[in-house]
Amino acid sequence: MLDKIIHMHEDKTEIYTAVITTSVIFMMVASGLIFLVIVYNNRKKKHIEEKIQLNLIFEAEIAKTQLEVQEQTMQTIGADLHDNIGQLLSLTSLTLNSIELADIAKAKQKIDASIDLTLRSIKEMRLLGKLLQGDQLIVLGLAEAIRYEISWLERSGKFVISYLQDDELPAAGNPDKDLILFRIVQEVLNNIIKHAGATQIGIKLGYAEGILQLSINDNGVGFDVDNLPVEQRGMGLQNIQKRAAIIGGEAAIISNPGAGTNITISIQYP
Amino acid sequence: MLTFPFYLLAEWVCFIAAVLLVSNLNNYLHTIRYYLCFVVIVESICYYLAWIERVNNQWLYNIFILVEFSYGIWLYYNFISFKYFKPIIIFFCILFFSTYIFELVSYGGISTFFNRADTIESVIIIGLCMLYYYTLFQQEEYINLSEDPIFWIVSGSFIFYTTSIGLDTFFKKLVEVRINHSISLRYIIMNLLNIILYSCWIKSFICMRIKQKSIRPL
Repeated sequence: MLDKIIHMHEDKTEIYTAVITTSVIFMMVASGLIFLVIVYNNRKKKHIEEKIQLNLIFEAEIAKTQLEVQEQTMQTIGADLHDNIGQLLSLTSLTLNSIELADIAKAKQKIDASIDLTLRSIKEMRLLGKLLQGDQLIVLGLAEAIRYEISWLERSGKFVISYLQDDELPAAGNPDKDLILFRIVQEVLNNIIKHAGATQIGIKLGYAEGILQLSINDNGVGFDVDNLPVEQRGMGLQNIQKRAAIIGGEAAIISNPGAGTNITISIQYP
Repeated sequence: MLTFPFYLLAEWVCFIAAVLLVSNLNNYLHTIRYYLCFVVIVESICYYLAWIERVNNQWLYNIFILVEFSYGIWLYYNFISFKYFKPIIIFFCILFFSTYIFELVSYGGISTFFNRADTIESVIIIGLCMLYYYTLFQQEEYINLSEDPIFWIVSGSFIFYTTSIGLDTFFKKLVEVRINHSISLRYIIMNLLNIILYSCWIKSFICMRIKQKSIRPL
Protein backbone atom coordinates (compact mmCIF):
# COMPACT_ATOMS: atom_id res chain seq x y z
CA MET A 1 0.00 0.00 0.00
CA LEU A 2 2.78 2.40 1.00
CA ASP A 3 4.69 1.45 -2.17
CA LYS A 4 1.63 2.29 -4.24
CA ILE A 5 1.26 5.70 -2.57
CA ILE A 6 4.98 6.48 -3.14
CA HIS A 7 4.68 5.36 -6.78
CA MET A 8 1.62 7.59 -7.31
CA HIS A 9 3.42 10.52 -5.73
CA GLU A 10 6.40 10.01 -8.07
CA ASP A 11 4.03 9.87 -11.09
CA LYS A 12 2.41 13.13 -10.02
CA THR A 13 5.79 14.84 -9.60
CA GLU A 14 6.80 13.72 -13.08
CA ILE A 15 3.59 15.11 -14.56
CA TYR A 16 4.08 18.40 -12.70
CA THR A 17 7.62 18.66 -14.06
CA ALA A 18 6.51 17.80 -17.60
CA VAL A 19 3.64 20.31 -17.59
CA ILE A 20 5.69 23.12 -16.07
CA THR A 21 8.67 22.44 -18.38
CA THR A 22 6.44 22.36 -21.47
CA SER A 23 4.66 25.56 -20.43
CA VAL A 24 7.96 27.32 -19.75
CA ILE A 25 9.38 26.20 -23.13
CA PHE A 26 6.26 27.36 -25.00
CA MET A 27 6.36 30.66 -23.17
CA MET A 28 10.06 31.10 -23.89
CA VAL A 29 9.52 30.41 -27.60
CA ALA A 30 6.74 33.00 -27.73
CA SER A 31 8.76 35.56 -25.77
CA GLY A 32 11.82 34.82 -27.92
CA LEU A 33 9.90 35.56 -31.10
CA ILE A 34 8.59 38.82 -29.64
CA PHE A 35 12.14 39.70 -28.61
CA LEU A 36 13.33 39.04 -32.19
CA VAL A 37 10.63 41.32 -33.57
CA ILE A 38 11.71 44.07 -31.15
CA VAL A 39 15.42 43.64 -32.04
CA TYR A 40 14.63 43.69 -35.77
CA ASN A 41 12.47 46.77 -35.31
CA ASN A 42 15.26 48.59 -33.45
CA ARG A 43 17.67 47.74 -36.27
CA LYS A 44 15.14 49.11 -38.71
CA LYS A 45 15.12 52.34 -36.68
CA LYS A 46 18.92 52.55 -36.83
CA HIS A 47 18.89 51.88 -40.57
CA ILE A 48 16.30 54.63 -41.15
CA GLU A 49 18.33 57.06 -39.02
CA GLU A 50 21.48 56.23 -41.01
CA LYS A 51 19.58 56.74 -44.24
CA ILE A 52 18.36 60.17 -43.07
CA GLN A 53 21.91 61.05 -42.01
CA LEU A 54 23.28 60.04 -45.43
CA ASN A 55 20.58 62.10 -47.13
CA LEU A 56 21.53 65.11 -45.05
CA ILE A 57 25.21 64.65 -45.96
CA PHE A 58 24.24 64.29 -49.62
CA GLU A 59 22.12 67.45 -49.55
CA ALA A 60 24.88 69.38 -47.76
CA GLU A 61 27.38 68.20 -50.37
CA ILE A 62 25.06 69.27 -53.19
CA ALA A 63 24.70 72.72 -51.63
CA LYS A 64 28.49 72.96 -51.18
CA THR A 65 29.06 71.89 -54.77
CA GLN A 66 26.60 74.48 -56.01
CA LEU A 67 28.50 77.16 -54.12
CA GLU A 68 31.81 75.94 -55.52
CA VAL A 69 30.47 75.97 -59.08
CA GLN A 70 29.29 79.54 -58.53
CA GLU A 71 32.65 80.49 -57.01
CA GLN A 72 34.48 78.98 -59.95
CA THR A 73 32.24 80.91 -62.33
CA MET A 74 32.96 84.16 -60.48
CA GLN A 75 36.70 83.50 -60.67
CA THR A 76 36.46 82.89 -64.41
CA ILE A 77 34.44 86.07 -64.83
CA GLY A 78 36.89 88.05 -62.72
CA ALA A 79 39.85 86.76 -64.68
CA ASP A 80 38.13 87.41 -67.99
CA LEU A 81 37.12 90.93 -67.02
CA HIS A 82 40.70 91.68 -66.04
CA ASP A 83 42.59 89.86 -68.79
CA ASN A 84 40.27 90.18 -71.74
CA ILE A 85 37.52 92.76 -71.64
CA GLY A 86 39.57 95.15 -69.48
CA GLN A 87 42.43 95.02 -71.96
CA LEU A 88 40.12 95.47 -74.94
CA LEU A 89 38.43 98.49 -73.38
CA SER A 90 41.79 100.02 -72.36
CA LEU A 91 43.01 99.58 -75.88
CA THR A 92 39.80 101.12 -77.23
CA SER A 93 40.25 104.07 -74.92
CA LEU A 94 43.90 104.51 -75.95
CA THR A 95 43.01 104.29 -79.65
CA LEU A 96 40.21 106.83 -79.30
CA ASN A 97 42.47 109.16 -77.33
CA SER A 98 45.16 109.03 -79.98
CA ILE A 99 42.86 110.21 -82.76
CA GLU A 100 43.98 113.41 -84.39
CA LEU A 101 41.13 115.03 -86.23
CA ALA A 102 43.49 116.90 -88.58
CA ASP A 103 44.59 113.66 -90.20
CA ILE A 104 41.23 112.30 -91.34
CA ALA A 105 42.58 109.20 -93.08
CA LYS A 106 44.47 108.07 -89.94
CA ALA A 107 41.56 109.05 -87.74
CA LYS A 108 39.20 106.90 -89.80
CA GLN A 109 41.61 103.98 -89.48
CA LYS A 110 41.73 104.42 -85.70
CA ILE A 111 37.95 104.78 -85.43
CA ASP A 112 37.54 101.55 -87.41
CA ALA A 113 40.01 99.83 -85.06
CA SER A 114 38.07 101.18 -82.05
CA ILE A 115 34.79 99.91 -83.52
CA ASP A 116 36.41 96.51 -84.00
CA LEU A 117 37.69 96.50 -80.42
CA THR A 118 34.27 97.54 -79.11
CA LEU A 119 32.58 94.73 -81.07
CA ARG A 120 35.07 92.23 -79.65
CA SER A 121 34.32 93.59 -76.18
CA ILE A 122 30.59 93.15 -76.77
CA LYS A 123 31.18 89.60 -77.95
CA GLU A 124 33.23 88.87 -74.82
CA MET A 125 30.53 90.43 -72.63
CA ARG A 126 27.91 88.20 -74.24
CA LEU A 127 29.99 85.12 -73.48
CA LEU A 128 30.43 86.31 -69.91
CA GLY A 129 26.69 86.87 -69.65
CA LYS A 130 26.13 83.24 -70.54
CA LEU A 131 28.68 82.14 -67.98
CA LEU A 132 26.99 84.27 -65.31
CA GLN A 133 24.00 82.00 -65.58
CA GLY A 134 26.23 79.52 -63.77
CA ASP A 135 23.93 76.78 -62.43
CA GLN A 136 21.65 77.09 -65.42
CA LEU A 137 24.37 75.46 -67.47
CA ILE A 138 23.51 72.23 -65.68
CA VAL A 139 19.90 72.55 -66.77
CA LEU A 140 21.13 72.17 -70.34
CA GLY A 141 22.53 68.79 -69.35
CA LEU A 142 25.93 67.54 -68.27
CA ALA A 143 27.25 67.13 -71.82
CA GLU A 144 26.39 70.74 -72.76
CA ALA A 145 27.80 72.14 -69.50
CA ILE A 146 31.10 70.32 -70.11
CA ARG A 147 31.16 71.55 -73.70
CA TYR A 148 30.74 75.14 -72.49
CA GLU A 149 33.47 74.74 -69.86
CA ILE A 150 35.82 73.37 -72.53
CA SER A 151 35.06 76.20 -74.96
CA TRP A 152 36.09 78.67 -72.25
CA LEU A 153 39.33 76.81 -71.61
CA GLU A 154 40.14 76.54 -75.33
CA ARG A 155 40.08 80.31 -75.61
CA SER A 156 43.29 80.49 -73.59
CA GLY A 157 45.03 78.79 -76.53
CA LYS A 158 47.24 76.80 -74.17
CA PHE A 159 45.52 73.45 -74.65
CA VAL A 160 44.37 71.21 -77.44
CA ILE A 161 41.15 69.71 -76.13
CA SER A 162 39.27 66.76 -77.58
CA TYR A 163 35.77 66.05 -76.36
CA LEU A 164 33.94 62.84 -77.22
CA GLN A 165 30.35 62.41 -76.19
CA ASP A 166 28.34 59.21 -76.45
CA ASP A 167 25.10 59.52 -78.45
CA GLU A 168 23.46 57.00 -76.13
CA LEU A 169 23.31 59.40 -73.17
CA PRO A 170 19.84 59.31 -71.58
CA ALA A 171 17.67 62.30 -72.41
CA ALA A 172 16.39 62.63 -68.85
CA GLY A 173 19.41 63.13 -66.63
CA ASN A 174 19.83 63.42 -62.90
CA PRO A 175 20.39 67.09 -61.89
CA ASP A 176 22.14 66.20 -58.58
CA LYS A 177 24.54 63.77 -60.23
CA ASP A 178 25.08 66.18 -63.14
CA LEU A 179 26.04 68.96 -60.73
CA ILE A 180 28.53 66.79 -58.83
CA LEU A 181 30.06 65.45 -62.08
CA PHE A 182 30.31 68.94 -63.52
CA ARG A 183 32.11 70.11 -60.37
CA ILE A 184 34.50 67.15 -60.68
CA VAL A 185 35.23 68.17 -64.28
CA GLN A 186 35.95 71.72 -63.09
CA GLU A 187 38.20 70.42 -60.32
CA VAL A 188 40.16 68.11 -62.64
CA LEU A 189 40.58 70.85 -65.23
CA ASN A 190 41.79 73.22 -62.50
CA ASN A 191 44.35 70.62 -61.42
CA ILE A 192 45.53 70.22 -65.00
CA ILE A 193 45.89 74.00 -65.44
CA LYS A 194 47.71 74.48 -62.12
CA HIS A 195 49.92 71.40 -61.81
CA ALA A 196 50.03 69.19 -64.89
CA GLY A 197 51.84 71.40 -67.41
CA ALA A 198 49.85 69.58 -70.10
CA THR A 199 49.27 70.66 -73.68
CA GLN A 200 46.60 68.12 -74.58
CA ILE A 201 43.41 67.26 -72.71
CA GLY A 202 40.98 64.51 -73.67
CA ILE A 203 37.46 64.29 -72.20
CA LYS A 204 35.10 61.41 -72.92
CA LEU A 205 31.56 60.97 -71.74
CA GLY A 206 30.37 57.42 -72.39
CA TYR A 207 27.20 55.54 -71.46
CA ALA A 208 26.46 51.83 -71.54
CA GLU A 209 24.02 49.58 -69.65
CA GLY A 210 23.01 52.23 -67.14
CA ILE A 211 26.59 53.23 -66.32
CA LEU A 212 27.88 56.68 -67.14
CA GLN A 213 31.63 56.92 -67.57
CA LEU A 214 33.41 60.24 -67.49
CA SER A 215 37.06 60.04 -68.45
CA ILE A 216 39.54 62.93 -68.40
CA ASN A 217 43.17 62.51 -69.47
CA ASP A 218 46.11 64.79 -70.09
CA ASN A 219 49.69 64.52 -71.35
CA GLY A 220 51.13 66.42 -68.39
CA VAL A 221 53.89 65.60 -65.92
CA GLY A 222 51.82 63.02 -64.06
CA PHE A 223 52.56 61.79 -60.57
CA ASP A 224 53.01 58.62 -58.57
CA VAL A 225 49.50 57.89 -57.28
CA ASP A 226 50.62 55.43 -54.59
CA ASN A 227 53.55 57.46 -53.26
CA LEU A 228 52.23 60.97 -53.41
CA PRO A 229 53.59 62.93 -50.39
CA VAL A 230 50.92 63.97 -47.90
CA GLU A 231 51.55 67.69 -48.47
CA GLN A 232 51.12 67.22 -52.25
CA ARG A 233 48.13 64.98 -51.99
CA GLY A 234 45.95 68.06 -51.81
CA MET A 235 42.23 68.20 -51.43
CA GLY A 236 41.61 67.88 -55.17
CA LEU A 237 42.05 64.13 -55.61
CA GLN A 238 40.42 63.30 -52.29
CA ASN A 239 37.48 65.53 -53.18
CA ILE A 240 37.06 63.82 -56.53
CA GLN A 241 36.92 60.39 -54.89
CA LYS A 242 34.64 61.56 -52.06
CA ARG A 243 32.21 63.22 -54.46
CA ALA A 244 32.12 60.25 -56.79
CA ALA A 245 31.30 58.06 -53.78
CA ILE A 246 28.48 60.38 -52.68
CA ILE A 247 26.64 59.83 -55.95
CA GLY A 248 27.24 56.09 -55.68
CA GLY A 249 30.11 55.95 -58.11
CA GLU A 250 33.83 55.45 -58.04
CA ALA A 251 36.83 57.33 -59.35
CA ALA A 252 39.85 55.53 -60.77
CA ILE A 253 43.00 57.65 -60.93
CA ILE A 254 45.82 56.33 -63.09
CA SER A 255 49.00 58.34 -63.34
CA ASN A 256 52.74 57.89 -63.59
CA PRO A 257 55.53 60.47 -63.50
CA GLY A 258 56.05 61.78 -67.04
CA ALA A 259 53.17 59.77 -68.47
CA GLY A 260 50.19 62.04 -67.87
CA THR A 261 47.07 61.35 -65.84
CA ASN A 262 43.81 59.55 -66.52
CA ILE A 263 40.84 59.97 -64.23
CA THR A 264 37.74 57.85 -64.86
CA ILE A 265 34.51 58.24 -62.92
CA SER A 266 31.85 55.56 -63.26
CA ILE A 267 28.36 55.94 -61.82
CA GLN A 268 24.93 54.43 -62.26
CA TYR A 269 22.92 56.84 -64.36
CA PRO A 270 20.43 58.46 -64.29
CA MET B 1 -4.44 31.35 -1.43
CA LEU B 2 -4.07 29.16 -4.54
CA THR B 3 -7.83 29.02 -5.00
CA PHE B 4 -8.10 32.79 -5.26
CA PRO B 5 -9.28 33.63 -8.83
CA PHE B 6 -6.36 35.80 -9.87
CA TYR B 7 -7.44 35.45 -13.49
CA LEU B 8 -10.83 36.96 -12.64
CA LEU B 9 -9.18 39.81 -10.75
CA ALA B 10 -6.90 40.44 -13.76
CA GLU B 11 -9.92 40.48 -16.08
CA TRP B 12 -11.82 42.93 -13.89
CA VAL B 13 -8.79 45.21 -13.55
CA CYS B 14 -8.32 45.08 -17.33
CA PHE B 15 -12.01 45.85 -17.93
CA ILE B 16 -11.92 48.83 -15.54
CA ALA B 17 -8.70 50.03 -17.24
CA ALA B 18 -10.44 49.74 -20.63
CA VAL B 19 -13.45 51.75 -19.42
CA LEU B 20 -11.20 54.45 -17.97
CA LEU B 21 -8.59 54.63 -20.73
CA VAL B 22 -10.29 53.58 -23.97
CA SER B 23 -13.68 55.23 -23.61
CA ASN B 24 -13.10 58.17 -25.95
CA LEU B 25 -11.52 56.30 -28.84
CA ASN B 26 -13.21 56.81 -32.17
CA ASN B 27 -11.82 53.81 -34.01
CA TYR B 28 -12.48 50.06 -33.88
CA LEU B 29 -10.30 49.65 -30.76
CA HIS B 30 -12.98 51.16 -28.51
CA THR B 31 -15.02 47.95 -28.97
CA ILE B 32 -12.48 46.18 -26.77
CA ARG B 33 -14.26 47.43 -23.62
CA TYR B 34 -17.54 45.79 -24.74
CA TYR B 35 -15.67 42.57 -25.34
CA LEU B 36 -14.02 42.79 -21.91
CA CYS B 37 -17.42 43.54 -20.35
CA PHE B 38 -18.68 40.31 -21.88
CA VAL B 39 -15.56 38.47 -20.66
CA VAL B 40 -15.91 39.59 -17.03
CA ILE B 41 -19.64 38.79 -16.96
CA VAL B 42 -19.12 35.29 -18.37
CA GLU B 43 -16.08 34.54 -16.21
CA SER B 44 -17.81 35.81 -13.07
CA ILE B 45 -20.85 33.65 -13.77
CA CYS B 46 -18.57 30.69 -14.51
CA TYR B 47 -16.71 31.24 -11.26
CA TYR B 48 -20.00 31.48 -9.34
CA LEU B 49 -21.31 28.28 -10.92
CA ALA B 50 -18.11 26.33 -10.35
CA TRP B 51 -17.09 27.48 -6.89
CA ILE B 52 -20.34 28.56 -5.18
CA GLU B 53 -23.03 26.46 -6.83
CA ARG B 54 -20.62 23.63 -7.68
CA VAL B 55 -22.36 22.96 -11.00
CA ASN B 56 -21.06 22.42 -14.52
CA ASN B 57 -20.11 25.67 -16.26
CA GLN B 58 -18.60 24.24 -19.42
CA TRP B 59 -21.67 25.08 -21.55
CA LEU B 60 -21.01 28.75 -20.82
CA TYR B 61 -17.36 28.42 -21.88
CA ASN B 62 -18.53 26.80 -25.11
CA ILE B 63 -20.62 29.89 -25.85
CA PHE B 64 -17.73 32.07 -24.73
CA ILE B 65 -15.22 30.59 -27.19
CA LEU B 66 -17.62 31.38 -30.04
CA VAL B 67 -17.61 35.07 -29.13
CA GLU B 68 -13.88 35.00 -28.32
CA PHE B 69 -13.04 33.56 -31.74
CA SER B 70 -15.38 35.84 -33.70
CA TYR B 71 -14.18 38.99 -31.96
CA GLY B 72 -10.54 37.88 -32.24
CA ILE B 73 -10.86 37.30 -35.98
CA TRP B 74 -12.55 40.68 -36.48
CA LEU B 75 -9.89 42.43 -34.39
CA TYR B 76 -6.98 40.85 -36.29
CA TYR B 77 -8.72 41.60 -39.57
CA ASN B 78 -8.39 45.27 -38.57
CA PHE B 79 -4.85 44.90 -37.22
CA ILE B 80 -3.26 43.22 -40.22
CA SER B 81 -2.96 44.60 -43.71
CA PHE B 82 -1.98 41.67 -45.85
CA LYS B 83 -2.68 41.06 -49.52
CA TYR B 84 -4.16 37.57 -49.23
CA PHE B 85 -5.78 38.05 -45.84
CA LYS B 86 -9.43 37.54 -46.84
CA PRO B 87 -9.03 33.95 -48.11
CA ILE B 88 -6.94 33.14 -45.01
CA ILE B 89 -9.68 34.48 -42.73
CA ILE B 90 -12.35 32.52 -44.61
CA PHE B 91 -10.26 29.35 -44.31
CA PHE B 92 -9.76 29.91 -40.56
CA CYS B 93 -13.48 30.52 -40.03
CA ILE B 94 -14.44 27.35 -41.90
CA LEU B 95 -11.86 25.38 -39.90
CA PHE B 96 -13.05 26.66 -36.52
CA PHE B 97 -16.80 26.51 -37.09
CA SER B 98 -16.66 23.04 -38.65
CA THR B 99 -14.69 21.78 -35.61
CA TYR B 100 -17.18 23.50 -33.32
CA ILE B 101 -20.17 21.94 -35.07
CA PHE B 102 -18.41 18.56 -35.13
CA GLU B 103 -17.95 18.69 -31.35
CA LEU B 104 -21.48 19.97 -30.83
CA VAL B 105 -22.84 16.98 -32.75
CA SER B 106 -20.43 14.40 -31.31
CA TYR B 107 -21.05 15.47 -27.70
CA GLY B 108 -24.77 15.81 -28.36
CA GLY B 109 -24.98 19.26 -26.76
CA ILE B 110 -22.88 21.95 -25.14
CA SER B 111 -22.51 20.59 -21.63
CA THR B 112 -19.01 19.17 -22.35
CA PHE B 113 -16.18 21.60 -23.05
CA PHE B 114 -15.29 21.77 -26.79
CA ASN B 115 -11.61 21.22 -26.31
CA ARG B 116 -10.75 20.66 -29.99
CA ALA B 117 -12.50 23.87 -31.06
CA ASP B 118 -10.64 25.68 -28.29
CA THR B 119 -7.32 24.24 -29.49
CA ILE B 120 -8.09 25.17 -33.11
CA GLU B 121 -8.96 28.68 -31.94
CA SER B 122 -5.59 28.95 -30.16
CA VAL B 123 -3.76 27.72 -33.29
CA ILE B 124 -5.59 30.26 -35.45
CA ILE B 125 -4.88 33.15 -33.09
CA ILE B 126 -1.19 32.11 -32.92
CA GLY B 127 -1.14 32.03 -36.73
CA LEU B 128 -2.67 35.50 -36.90
CA CYS B 129 -0.17 36.83 -34.34
CA MET B 130 2.69 35.45 -36.46
CA LEU B 131 1.14 36.98 -39.57
CA TYR B 132 1.03 40.32 -37.74
CA TYR B 133 4.75 39.98 -36.86
CA TYR B 134 5.45 39.08 -40.49
CA THR B 135 3.76 42.28 -41.67
CA LEU B 136 5.87 44.18 -39.11
CA PHE B 137 9.00 42.64 -40.67
CA GLN B 138 7.77 43.57 -44.13
CA GLN B 139 6.84 47.20 -43.60
CA GLU B 140 9.52 49.75 -44.31
CA GLU B 141 8.62 52.47 -41.87
CA TYR B 142 9.62 52.27 -38.23
CA ILE B 143 7.05 51.89 -35.45
CA ASN B 144 7.95 52.49 -31.82
CA LEU B 145 6.70 49.12 -30.57
CA SER B 146 6.90 50.00 -26.90
CA GLU B 147 4.22 52.63 -27.54
CA ASP B 148 2.17 50.70 -30.07
CA PRO B 149 -1.16 49.48 -28.62
CA ILE B 150 -1.68 46.81 -31.29
CA PHE B 151 1.76 45.29 -30.63
CA TRP B 152 0.95 44.92 -26.93
CA ILE B 153 -2.46 43.35 -27.59
CA VAL B 154 -0.97 40.91 -30.09
CA SER B 155 2.06 40.06 -27.91
CA GLY B 156 -0.08 39.41 -24.83
CA SER B 157 -2.35 37.15 -26.86
CA PHE B 158 0.62 35.42 -28.49
CA ILE B 159 2.22 34.48 -25.15
CA PHE B 160 -1.17 33.45 -23.75
CA TYR B 161 -2.28 31.22 -26.62
CA THR B 162 1.15 29.73 -27.36
CA THR B 163 1.59 28.60 -23.76
CA SER B 164 -2.00 27.58 -23.19
CA ILE B 165 -2.16 25.46 -26.34
CA GLY B 166 -0.07 22.78 -24.65
CA LEU B 167 -2.46 22.84 -21.72
CA ASP B 168 -5.51 22.69 -24.00
CA THR B 169 -4.10 19.71 -25.90
CA PHE B 170 -3.87 17.65 -22.72
CA PHE B 171 -6.88 19.33 -21.14
CA LYS B 172 -8.62 16.18 -20.01
CA LYS B 173 -5.51 14.73 -18.38
CA LEU B 174 -4.35 17.96 -16.83
CA VAL B 175 -7.57 18.86 -15.05
CA GLU B 176 -7.09 15.63 -13.13
CA VAL B 177 -3.59 16.63 -12.00
CA ARG B 178 -4.45 18.39 -8.78
CA ILE B 179 -2.10 20.09 -6.38
CA ASN B 180 -4.61 19.69 -3.57
CA HIS B 181 -8.14 18.32 -3.76
CA SER B 182 -9.75 21.45 -5.15
CA ILE B 183 -7.19 23.00 -7.49
CA SER B 184 -5.53 21.74 -10.68
CA LEU B 185 -2.09 22.59 -12.03
CA ARG B 186 -3.77 23.82 -15.23
CA TYR B 187 -5.79 26.31 -13.17
CA ILE B 188 -2.62 27.81 -11.67
CA ILE B 189 -0.84 28.10 -15.02
CA MET B 190 -3.93 29.61 -16.64
CA ASN B 191 -4.08 32.13 -13.78
CA LEU B 192 -0.51 33.16 -14.53
CA LEU B 193 -1.14 33.36 -18.27
CA ASN B 194 -4.24 35.48 -17.75
CA ILE B 195 -2.26 37.89 -15.60
CA ILE B 196 0.38 38.19 -18.39
CA LEU B 197 -2.31 38.58 -21.08
CA TYR B 198 -4.27 41.28 -19.31
CA SER B 199 -1.14 43.11 -18.13
CA CYS B 200 -0.12 43.43 -21.80
CA TRP B 201 -3.62 44.62 -22.69
CA ILE B 202 -3.58 47.24 -19.90
CA LYS B 203 -0.22 48.44 -21.26
CA SER B 204 -1.90 48.64 -24.67
CA PHE B 205 -4.72 50.79 -23.24
CA ILE B 206 -2.15 53.12 -21.68
CA CYS B 207 -0.48 53.44 -25.09
CA MET B 208 -3.87 54.19 -26.68
CA ARG B 209 -4.50 56.87 -24.08
CA ILE B 210 -1.06 58.46 -24.63
CA LYS B 211 -1.55 58.43 -28.40
CA GLN B 212 -5.00 59.90 -28.07
CA LYS B 213 -3.65 62.73 -25.87
CA SER B 214 -0.75 63.43 -28.22
CA ILE B 215 -3.01 63.87 -31.27
CA ARG B 216 -5.64 65.95 -29.48
CA PRO B 217 -5.50 69.60 -30.70
CA LEU B 218 -4.39 72.19 -28.13
